[in-house]
Amino acid sequence: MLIGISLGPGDPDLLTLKAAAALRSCSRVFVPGGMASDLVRPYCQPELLDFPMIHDQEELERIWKKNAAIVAEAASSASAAFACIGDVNTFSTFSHLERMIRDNYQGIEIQTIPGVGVVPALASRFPAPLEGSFMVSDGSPMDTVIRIKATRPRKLAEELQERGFEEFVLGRMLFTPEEEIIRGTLPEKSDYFSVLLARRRRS
Amino acid sequence: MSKKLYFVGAGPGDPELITVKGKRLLSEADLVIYAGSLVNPALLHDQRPGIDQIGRAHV
Repeated sequence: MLIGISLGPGDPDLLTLKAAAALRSCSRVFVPGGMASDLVRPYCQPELLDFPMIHDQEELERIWKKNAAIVAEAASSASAAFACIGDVNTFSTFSHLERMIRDNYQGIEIQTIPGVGVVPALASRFPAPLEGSFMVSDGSPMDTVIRIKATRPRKLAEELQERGFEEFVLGRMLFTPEEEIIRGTLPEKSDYFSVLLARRRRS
Repeated sequence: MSKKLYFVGAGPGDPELITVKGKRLLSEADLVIYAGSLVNPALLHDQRPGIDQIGRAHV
């Protein structure tokens, strides 16, 4: 099994309890840099994987493949973790690694532990409470819309479909015992705790 | 800790998804006010004994 662990923005106090427990229990923990390494060291002995910021695409691909092979090998025989700064599903090194492992190595269960990503970190420190809609971008084309309080999910999905979105997932009460995740035909009504994810087709 | 007010993000619902800091602040606080309809009550189990909790249904 492979667990992607979010470490939060950098303050060791901003790891979640779940992240700390997973770091303690995994037999091998990989990190992509010194900052992540420092954050996990109270809980485990990390192994540093180098992901250099270089422009040589061939060399980059070779390094990614090598790192994916190391992590996949560890995850296929025991519990392995890959721990990153921020949230492990938001503009994260982990997502690319996860895709490579899913595509090239069968039978490895992959889970992630969410954490304090860039949005809640800046909102707290600036401080900048985010009370209305906002956009987060790294300059790449916008391909995802998240609608909170999606109380009329079917109608919302129809409206977003007209704007070119094609893939829809509705979540309710995530990470609680009442959690529901619905794909395909969405219900007409849902409650206040509903979130709708809409994606454009990936080319 | 005196005369301090912390707003603590409790995470999405799993009581293990609170931060280390959030958990510590809850266990040290003299008074905890929380949205009873939103916050998992499991988070309030290991507060100091005798501490006030005010569960507000519609904060």
